[in-house]
Amino acid sequence: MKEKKFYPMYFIWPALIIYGLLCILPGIIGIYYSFTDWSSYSDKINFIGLENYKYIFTSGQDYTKYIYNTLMFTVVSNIVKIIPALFLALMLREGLKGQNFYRGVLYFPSVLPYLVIGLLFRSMLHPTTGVVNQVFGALNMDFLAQKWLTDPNFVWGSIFAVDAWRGIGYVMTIFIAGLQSIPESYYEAAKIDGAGYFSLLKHITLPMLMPSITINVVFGLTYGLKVFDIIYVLTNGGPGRMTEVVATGIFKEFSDGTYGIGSALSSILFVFMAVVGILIVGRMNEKKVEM
Amino acid sequence: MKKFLSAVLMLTMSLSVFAGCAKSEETPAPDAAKPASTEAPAAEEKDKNKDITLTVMTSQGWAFPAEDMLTQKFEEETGIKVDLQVVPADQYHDLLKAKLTSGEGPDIFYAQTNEFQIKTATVDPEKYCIDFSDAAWKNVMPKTRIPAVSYNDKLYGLMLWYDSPEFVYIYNKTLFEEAGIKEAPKTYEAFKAACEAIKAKGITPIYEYGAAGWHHQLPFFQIGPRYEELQPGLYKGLNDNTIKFADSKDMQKALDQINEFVQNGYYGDDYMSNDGTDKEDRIANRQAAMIQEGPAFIETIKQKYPEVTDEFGVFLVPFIDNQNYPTNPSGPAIFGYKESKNVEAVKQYFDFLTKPENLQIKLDNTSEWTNIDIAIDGVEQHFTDIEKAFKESIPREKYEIAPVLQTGTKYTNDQWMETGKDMISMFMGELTSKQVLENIDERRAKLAKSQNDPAWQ
Repeated sequence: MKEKKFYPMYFIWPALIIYGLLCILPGIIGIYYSFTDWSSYSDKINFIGLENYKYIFTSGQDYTKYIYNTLMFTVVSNIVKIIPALFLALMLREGLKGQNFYRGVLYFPSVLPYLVIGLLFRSMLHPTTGVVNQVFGALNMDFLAQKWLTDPNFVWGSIFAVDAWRGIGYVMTIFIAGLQSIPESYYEAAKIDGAGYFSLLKHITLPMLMPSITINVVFGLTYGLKVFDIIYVLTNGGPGRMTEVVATGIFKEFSDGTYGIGSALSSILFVFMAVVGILIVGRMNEKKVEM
Repeated sequence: MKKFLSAVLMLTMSLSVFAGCAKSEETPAPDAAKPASTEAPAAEEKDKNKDITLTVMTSQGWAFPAEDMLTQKFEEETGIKVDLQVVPADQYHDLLKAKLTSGEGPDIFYAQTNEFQIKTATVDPEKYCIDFSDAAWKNVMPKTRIPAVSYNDKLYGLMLWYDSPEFVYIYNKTLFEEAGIKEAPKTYEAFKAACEAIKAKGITPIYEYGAAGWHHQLPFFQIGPRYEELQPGLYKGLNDNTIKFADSKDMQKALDQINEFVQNGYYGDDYMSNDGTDKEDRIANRQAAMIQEGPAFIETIKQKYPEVTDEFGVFLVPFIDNQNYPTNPSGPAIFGYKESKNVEAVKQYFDFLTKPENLQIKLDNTSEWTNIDIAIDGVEQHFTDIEKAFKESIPREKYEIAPVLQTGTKYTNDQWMETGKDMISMFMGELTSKQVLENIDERRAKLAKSQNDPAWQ
């Protein structure tokens, strides 16, 4: 059936022009600059082809590791936030006493500035003076005390833990909103038919929660690919360059005045995010059609 | 199920309570009395200035108590408010450069500079800095420091720093004697033996603070004169790009020796987490025996911990058997932002800082300094006997071979923090000493090419 159109197409143009000028054009200009030697040291900008990309992928400055770290952070940080957040959301819709208080407490870290979180956890996780290792010491469990933010074996785990501590409340809130939109009658009918807790979860809750899961995954992916703050405040990319990500690399290049290389790194991130975004939106539209 | 879920939830809640229980670091309070204001300008002048606020941006490492006192005095005298913004040392230069390049620079800012660096990465004086060539305070600075704040015959900055052996090893003499070490080490082998003896007593030989990002690379750079002594012409070759850092066997050897110290545990277990805020405490309380600081550090310990009876001494950094004085006519300087809306107020602030009475306040309330390197009279210096004796014990020719590496070679100080990161990677086994040097060369080439340096074309 032909879709009925209420408004003419040209109504979209003002919004499209503003979006294009403010969002699309800077991205395209950035890609152009990635092929130049633009820097803060010279007013001249020369086209240098793929030199910046060559430098990124072949120099000894470990940019490829930054890209790997960004992808790894995106995947792991989503897993460690979404699964526990779903678990907590399920608990907090079960009619616990004082559930609003718990929801508030869990959401609270999400509103804390990253700088505060960084100072707080850098202090807490200090191997000698930090409260975490001191608690282990007081409990005679010194073997659990670690150099949380400087030991290569623990630094990523510590970042993921702090990131999860901050982000779980936000993800959980989206899940709770999704859970509240599931009609109670579905559960009642299923219970009459003899369904247990896990059957209800598998056949009603999770399928009905798919839109919330999708939103959380999309938000999580875009957050993960752009991650900067949490790394910057906790480790500043260290120890060494172990936890550098693309965004910290871009910041470094721009603050060094080597804008061309910074633009090339930004462009890589831009293209990757665009591809991931298109794939996800496409997938979501497919689901919509199926439903 | 509900009970189980409740129990898990309660456990999670309990753990989150610990989040607020971090042990706070003690911040030393300024111990000197608030300075009395000098001449008060007319009330109307103050009233005129009451809407002006100057932003002053500095690094944590340079934010001495004197800065607070001077800004307060300036406010009282002029009515101009000062917003002193102190940024963690490991983020300072990145943030400053990002602010300047984005057109949002602070009215006044500090930046590490030297004769070469002023022309390179940090501040780009012609683009960002106020020209102070006609300032009356120009003669306050000694001639040796002028090149570090000048560019194309114009003066852009004010460098108020001290003239002491910067970053040598301060050691606990009493502890050394108890460990059977009779004299301060002058060679690498003697240094290593001393560390081993201290470590055997269950004490960390050297307190290092890697989390600050700027300190742990000092031993490598401060012994620059030794590299030049072992390979005459090295600095010239590095500056005209006929020699690479990676070609220097001596630099590689120095890095290997520093790394050996780390692997042997001479820096302790927590050096990468330390940010230096407890350095006096660690040394005064014998948790560590040595630290790389200036001689004034000894006075700071005596003042802060009067109960400590241990004697302290000073020795030169002995990696690759260095016995040269770390000559370094550079340091952090103060610049005014060209695009500031309050250029006149900025100039007033610089005039204020360079008055003899204010220089005296700066020196008297900066416990890390024993003197201030200026070319005018009217300021009482506080050189210590230990410092005087130490300087006199070094032969004159050992002062004159070359300045420290970061001051004597181009595009080196610009990548101070990056080199620090590479050194941490070396400590973790991810890079070799040779790769650290190759990375320095690569970054030097990147900076040189971006500035069209003919030696790198």
